[in-house]
Amino acid sequence: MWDRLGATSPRVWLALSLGVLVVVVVTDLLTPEVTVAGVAVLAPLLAGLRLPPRVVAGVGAAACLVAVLSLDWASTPGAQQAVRVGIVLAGSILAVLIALARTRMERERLLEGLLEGLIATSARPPAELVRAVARALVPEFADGARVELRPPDGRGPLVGEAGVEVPPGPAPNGRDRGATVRSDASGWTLRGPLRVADRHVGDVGLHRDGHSFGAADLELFDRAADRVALALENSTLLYDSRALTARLGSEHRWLQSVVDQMPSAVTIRDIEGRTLIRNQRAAEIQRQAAGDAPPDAWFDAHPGRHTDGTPVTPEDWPHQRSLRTGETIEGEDFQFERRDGSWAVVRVSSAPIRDERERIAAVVSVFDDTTEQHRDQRALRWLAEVGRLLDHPHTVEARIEEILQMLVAEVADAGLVYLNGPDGSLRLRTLAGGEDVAADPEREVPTGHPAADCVSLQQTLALVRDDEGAAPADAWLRANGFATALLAPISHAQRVHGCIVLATRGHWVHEPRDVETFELIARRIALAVENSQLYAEQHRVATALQRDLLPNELPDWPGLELATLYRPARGAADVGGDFFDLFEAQAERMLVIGDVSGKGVEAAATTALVRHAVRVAARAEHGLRERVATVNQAVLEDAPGDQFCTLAWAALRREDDVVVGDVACAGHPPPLIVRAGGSVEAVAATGTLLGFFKDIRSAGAQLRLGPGDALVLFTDGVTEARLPDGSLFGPERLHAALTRAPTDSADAILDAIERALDDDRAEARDDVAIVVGRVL
Amino acid sequence: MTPFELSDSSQNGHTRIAVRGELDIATAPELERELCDRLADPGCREIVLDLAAATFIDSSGLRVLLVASRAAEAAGGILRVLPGSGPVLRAIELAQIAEHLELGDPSAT
Repeated sequence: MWDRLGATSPRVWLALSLGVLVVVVVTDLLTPEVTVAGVAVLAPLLAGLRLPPRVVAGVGAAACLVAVLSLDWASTPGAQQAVRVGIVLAGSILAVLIALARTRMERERLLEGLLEGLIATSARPPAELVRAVARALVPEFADGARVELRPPDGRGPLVGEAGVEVPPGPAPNGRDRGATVRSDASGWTLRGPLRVADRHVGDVGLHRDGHSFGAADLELFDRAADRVALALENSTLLYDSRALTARLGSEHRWLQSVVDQMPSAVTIRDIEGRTLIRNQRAAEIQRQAAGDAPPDAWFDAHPGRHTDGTPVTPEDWPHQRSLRTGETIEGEDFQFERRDGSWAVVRVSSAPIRDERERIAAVVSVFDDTTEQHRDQRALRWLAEVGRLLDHPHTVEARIEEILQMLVAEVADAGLVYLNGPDGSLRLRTLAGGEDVAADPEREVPTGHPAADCVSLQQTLALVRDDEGAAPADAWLRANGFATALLAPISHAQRVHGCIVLATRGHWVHEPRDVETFELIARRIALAVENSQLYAEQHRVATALQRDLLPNELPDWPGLELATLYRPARGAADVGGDFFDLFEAQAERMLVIGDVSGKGVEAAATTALVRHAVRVAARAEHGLRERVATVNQAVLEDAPGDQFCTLAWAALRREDDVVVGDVACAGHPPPLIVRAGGSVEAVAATGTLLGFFKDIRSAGAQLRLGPGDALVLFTDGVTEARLPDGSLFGPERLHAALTRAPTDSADAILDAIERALDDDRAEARDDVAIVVGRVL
Repeated sequence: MTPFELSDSSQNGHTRIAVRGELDIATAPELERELCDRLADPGCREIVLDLAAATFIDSSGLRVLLVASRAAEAAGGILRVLPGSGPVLRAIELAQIAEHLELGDPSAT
């Protein structure tokens, strides 16, 4: 009800109050008997509820006058009359007091409302706000108001004025907390400081023409000044940042056009991380990652990875680090996933921007999409690694596994290599990363299997799983838990050897560049597989050739027991040139052992030549010296390249119960004689190696073997076999082995040499050939 | 096992190549290349090949000695081989090729 009353116009109240008096006067004139003086007291009381105290006092005075005039002084006792006038007077005084209290309450409420309004509107520019504050103070608190705000940056003061002019006066002392009131001819002037946290930010002046400021006014001022100051300060700060933004706005256009010209992506962010400026390139890259999401949300939504695969937290991003620590970051690579699922790499640099007080105010980031360079580098690195790995043709399968592991570590979850076997069946040969792949290496890959498709079509297949798909490829992907697979045929020059597969459990976009690299790797593997097959074939041919160069079976010679050993060098890439031959010519039994320099097919061919020459010379010539000279001639003239050979040649004849013979050595370790009694002696024959010099020297030896005596011919593969400690097996160990050997058979003697080599764990790095002939 | 190692020094048309370790089918091609390069230099009159520190030589190594000696002779130069007193000397004796090589006296150098 009071609110509704309060809303009524003061004029109505004045009319009501005076109306009451008019009614009393008229009633009193018409019915002088009726005393209405007591009713008059209602007028000031009513006025006191709504009107200003000064008006209420006037109404009260009028009520007292009415009461005095209405009295019938003749008929009424004096005391009664005094009481009636006293009641009206007391009522009037009460009404004035009520009006005073009410006015003060109303003023406080007004002030509250004003301040609330100020705080709510502190987003207005301070120049506007000081005017609003001044206007709000007039006329409720003063006839004139002047609010002055001094911004901290030294710009001129902002002044807001309302009502009558506030006369200039001494500036309030910043150290004084409260307001002061001065009076002059024009009236009363209140001045007080505006403070924020002990900082003197401005002043307020209020002027009244008619009456002074009371203690209540000063108290109100003190209470209000702090809040006004705060509102003004807020506005100033806000205005400052807006001015900055506005300034940026004016500079924004040319700054934007500058960064738009830059080939790199550029963003400038404020201290909160909000994007102030970004150029077209930055928008493009961010769109790739986050579509049309707001640029500031990009890093949170797409934190990405370091290039080593570890996740990036939002705090790791260079712009965040620059903002936090002020560091300048140069060229760090980050991977992020584009919306289409492919991965991109950006190289990011960032630096803080500082304000005039050296505080970090913003950060500029420059980034480039280095995905293509990254891909190029990776492709080069892969191909270099693949080339290095495939340098060893005879270990190609192990190398393929290493290549798969390398690829799986970087881009896929599983790698598989299927190769055609010798029978043409396609089987899984190598698997990396996919421990739970449902593949059976024993089984041939069935028709319809993606690997079989890849091989038969001889083309790269990029598979993406379709969960509803009925194709065998979909079934295969589902069975192995793969989401994608990339298959490239291992083929070269129309020959397909199998296929290589990279599969992922998650989404993977098969970038054309990566697919190209992958195909190159597959082709490189195809070359290596072919090399390896050629190499295996060459090895097989050379070995077969050499085996053909050895006697198919040992001759059956009465009275002379034979045992032979030929052991190719273990793990050697090529076959060596060791050979031996056992044949009869001109009633002599020939035991020949030799070593052609070099390896491989060429050495095998020379071996064939030497062996043939030996047989021809044995039949055409008499005497070992001549025979050896003939072989020398043949090798010299017909052997390819600078090859030469060494030879030990024994020509044995039976004489009664003993065997006699000649021995020739051409650059070859001299044969050993193992006597029946166990003693071992070397045959003292020497001579120049064959096939290099026209004239050779040959100092033959003669020997005589009794029953149980054995002649041992060997190649240097025996004596040059390597022991684990790096030393050579050597002639001494051979000598010792033969000394220990049982002499009851040729095989026993041969076994003794083999056992000695094995016991000493001697590793032959060259072929080993041994011929033992024992007289029965 | 001493690893194979080649070191060479040249002075006034005299080249000295020293071999350490094993001269076999694996390492002989390296020595052969080195000798070929030196022999191709027309200013090279004499090469001293010091094999005293070689711990092993096989037929491939011997072949390099023979081929290079012949090439040096054809070019009007000389390949002087210092076989030392160990395995290289024994191999040269076994192959009976001492007379076809210019064997230097190791103590003279």
